[in-house]
Amino acid sequence: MFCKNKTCNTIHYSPLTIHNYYMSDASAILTSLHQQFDAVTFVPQQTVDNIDTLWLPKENIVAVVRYLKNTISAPFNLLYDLCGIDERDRMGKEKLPAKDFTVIYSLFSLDRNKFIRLKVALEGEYPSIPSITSLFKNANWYEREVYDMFGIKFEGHPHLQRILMPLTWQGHPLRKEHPARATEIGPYRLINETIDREQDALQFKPEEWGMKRESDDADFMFLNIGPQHPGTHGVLRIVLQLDGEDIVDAVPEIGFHHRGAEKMGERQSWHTYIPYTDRIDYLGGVMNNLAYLLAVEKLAGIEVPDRVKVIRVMLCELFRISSHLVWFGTFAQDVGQLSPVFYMFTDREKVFDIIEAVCGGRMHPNWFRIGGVAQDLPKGWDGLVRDFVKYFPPKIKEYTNMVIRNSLFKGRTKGIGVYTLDEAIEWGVTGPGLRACGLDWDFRKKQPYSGYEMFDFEIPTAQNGDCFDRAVVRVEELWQSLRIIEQCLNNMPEGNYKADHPLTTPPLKKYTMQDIETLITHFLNVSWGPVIPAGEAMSCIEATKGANSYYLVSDGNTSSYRTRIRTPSFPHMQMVPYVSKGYTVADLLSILGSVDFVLADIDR
Amino acid sequence: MQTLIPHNADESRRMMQSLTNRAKPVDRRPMNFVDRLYLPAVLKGMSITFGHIFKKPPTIKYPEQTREFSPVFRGLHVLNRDEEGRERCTACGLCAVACPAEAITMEAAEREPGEENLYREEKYAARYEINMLRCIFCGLCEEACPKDAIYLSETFAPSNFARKGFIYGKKDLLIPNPVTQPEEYAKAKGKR
Ligand code: SF4
Ligand code: SF4
Repeated sequence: MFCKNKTCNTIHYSPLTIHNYYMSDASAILTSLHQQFDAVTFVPQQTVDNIDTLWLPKENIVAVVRYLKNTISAPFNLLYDLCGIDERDRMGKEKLPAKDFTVIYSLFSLDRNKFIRLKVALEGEYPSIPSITSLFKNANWYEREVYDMFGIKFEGHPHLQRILMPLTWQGHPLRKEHPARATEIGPYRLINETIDREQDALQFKPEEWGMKRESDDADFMFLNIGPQHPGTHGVLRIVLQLDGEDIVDAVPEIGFHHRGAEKMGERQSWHTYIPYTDRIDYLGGVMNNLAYLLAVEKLAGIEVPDRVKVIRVMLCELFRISSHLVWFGTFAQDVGQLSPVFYMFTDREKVFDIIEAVCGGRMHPNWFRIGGVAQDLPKGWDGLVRDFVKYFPPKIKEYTNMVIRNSLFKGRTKGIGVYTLDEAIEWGVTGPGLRACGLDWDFRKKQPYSGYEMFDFEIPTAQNGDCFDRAVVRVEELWQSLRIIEQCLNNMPEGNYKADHPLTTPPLKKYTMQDIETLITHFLNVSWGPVIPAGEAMSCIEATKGANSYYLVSDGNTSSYRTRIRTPSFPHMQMVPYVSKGYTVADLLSILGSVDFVLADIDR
Repeated sequence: MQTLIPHNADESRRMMQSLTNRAKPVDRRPMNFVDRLYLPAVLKGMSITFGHIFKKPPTIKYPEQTREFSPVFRGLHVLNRDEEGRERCTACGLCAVACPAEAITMEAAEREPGEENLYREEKYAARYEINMLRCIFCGLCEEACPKDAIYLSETFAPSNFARKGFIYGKKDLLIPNPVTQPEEYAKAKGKR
């Protein structure tokens, strides 16, 4: 599909591809939508990721989403993502129905294994759009986020309030006129009035959330857990409405970890954004690089060599193990076992020894590059990995015996924090949390990326969707990851560690030192950054905690026009109040531990 | 494709399950009476913890002992010299623009006649500073440098009392001269 002319980066679709595209599911959906909503104009848009993309008027969004979710067979029953774009500065937007702002709904159908992307163009400085909170439970936080970031109002939203930024914040950060750096705003002074104002804004007012202060027979107590609490695993505040020891309701307050990663994407070049991705799910390391780069490579049309794929898979699975070990240890600690965390962190060091030998960094490896990886594997990597593959199995057994088989652990986790498969889908749960409800859904298998189709592994599932089942699923995943690593070790393909493509950044260094042509490309790519062809693409990977996506919009520049990061922890955290109602405070800590979130992954 | 699409929730559930037969149900044995006593579990846990008293500790006594870093470890920066002891940097500024944290500042100067033994290229960095508080040790500067003039070494930034102390200038960054201080040079170079 790539243009033979090396300097031309456009993707040329063969007539056959276009034919298939329109004759497939997409046209079926479009036809049935046209039949259902005859007067409505649906404008399809071709995107590089081949996700069916339809523009529609805002009056119809609720009806169309309802139709796709409730009426058709094999419905689009998972609200995968909901985000906005400020289109006002976008180059080449005349070719699209875009106006000032766009709200984008990504729905996913588990039956069809397909995404659909609905786009609504909005006009005006601070436009509004009907809310879909009545259709999807998890639309609530997503709409609040879009409001917070763009100032777009959602009519009919039950509580449209900022979610990531402080309530006192001026402006909406992802609007193009909002400054991207602190130095553009002027120095920050923390004077007494500011302190009072901020403190006041942090005061929890139950009435705002429709909560009562007392019931007929009891006064409720409001208890703050966090922002500094070992059980919250980061800066998270949960306000609990308690009737004695029982949780009546809970309100998580997030945003303490918000660093504006999406805004940074609009400022950094495509290449220098990679280190930022490390810090999204900071336990997932290179897995974040991968999610980002898969989208960039789709836009750039880069096909990476097999060696790159296998190296990437191996590193990703090592990070899955390291992330699961952190979860395992801290979870055991949350429910009262204080020693396992030390043993598991010791083993995580063993993983990090390999990571450090390969990447040079540990938690923030910053090691994948556009079109490949930073360096080739070092000499002796196979010895390190082989030692680990030998060392680790008895350890998993030991930990399973120590933690999972422990009856106290079972007592604290079985039947706690239960949700059913339908509830999980309704709230947008992915990853181990979904698999613990009995559905073997794993993007590595269902929509293989980076060569996962070449590997032999299984998808662990459990049936009951409680804390215990989420735990056993993850432990089983340790085994599967180890299997994948062993296959990488034994079948590492020969070849280059970077793609031979003009947009590979930086190009292979050995040429840079010799030939002027590559040197110039090198200069341009590392200074201004590579120019990625205009287009839109979304990646979707099975990260350590669930589905992680980067939805990138390029208008043909050296940095992205819009970087949207869909993280698994965000919907998972949103579900916590729902699953913890009726349990006790001690159970809440089991639930939080079993959800396995990372605050940086929630707040971005 | 169309024929695969199920028509109601139940059917779809069944189908989803059978999409692959590779799912692996996990172990869920119910608790027996002994389990529910909890006391054996407590004792077993204690015995594991006590057992670890007799094992070799995985920690080291830092700072008396230090651990080995891998040769590619990304620690403090080193400004490199060539075999004749000349500074390699040509003040092209690529490292500074490639730096995502904007931690590098520099001033370029022209090499004067007679300075050929000091600077390898006609232009050199008269001032070269890295703010280690901004730096995220990502290594993009090393990757960007066309002259092999900067690399990240196996040491990491020591603590300091003032912010000023974290702005490393040329005197902190330059590797010792291999001609005049061969020993120090070899030490600083390490395994690289
Ligand atoms: S290591 Fe990264 S952050 Fe530090 S100076 Fe180099 S490019 Fe900048
Ligand atoms: S260190 Fe390298 S990239 Fe930086 S200015 Fe010197 S020669 Fe250029």
